[in-house]
Amino acid sequence: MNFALLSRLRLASFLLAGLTCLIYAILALLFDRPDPVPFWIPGVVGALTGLFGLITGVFLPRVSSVVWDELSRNEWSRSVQFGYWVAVALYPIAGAFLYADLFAWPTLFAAMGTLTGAAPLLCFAWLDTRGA
Amino acid sequence: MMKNLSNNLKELRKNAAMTQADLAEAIGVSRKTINTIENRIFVPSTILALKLAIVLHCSVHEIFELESD
Repeated sequence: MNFALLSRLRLASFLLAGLTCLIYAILALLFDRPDPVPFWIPGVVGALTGLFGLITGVFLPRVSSVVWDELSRNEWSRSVQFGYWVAVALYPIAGAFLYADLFAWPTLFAAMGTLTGAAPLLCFAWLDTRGA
Repeated sequence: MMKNLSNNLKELRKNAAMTQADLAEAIGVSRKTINTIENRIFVPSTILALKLAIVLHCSVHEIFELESD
């Protein structure tokens, strides 16, 4: 497997996991229930994404080191920072929704969790497409 | 006082008759990393800058410079 293919597969896996989490959160809020689709789907997709990264790192160390070069590590660091601030911002937003009695707390809990997962993954996917 | 960092990487790479992919492979990074450095989107670490200088047979100062006001 060459660098370009592994890089594209990484982008696809991050997009898939990020969009799965984002869509789950949107559906949870739309239907006001914590399990709009089977609850394990975001977790399993996220775990498979992590497993893919682990396997390629172990079995394709040379290609993987190029895919995760200085620029990629920098972009991932920025994505995690973005995810942190999204997670922090979600607390007052969820509090406001609870106060306004717009959603039940289990719904908000599910949406906050999946949005927190989606933020760094989608941010990285966006950063990864720059200058490609 | 903040100054912008400019670079002559593209010119130096072309002078060395290398493509972005050639240079990327020589220093063990992706082609995108070279592209983003040339387009001033990404500022590389000192280690990467030194690797670039070694491969291009020049000094880091010839690749990167602070823009004058």
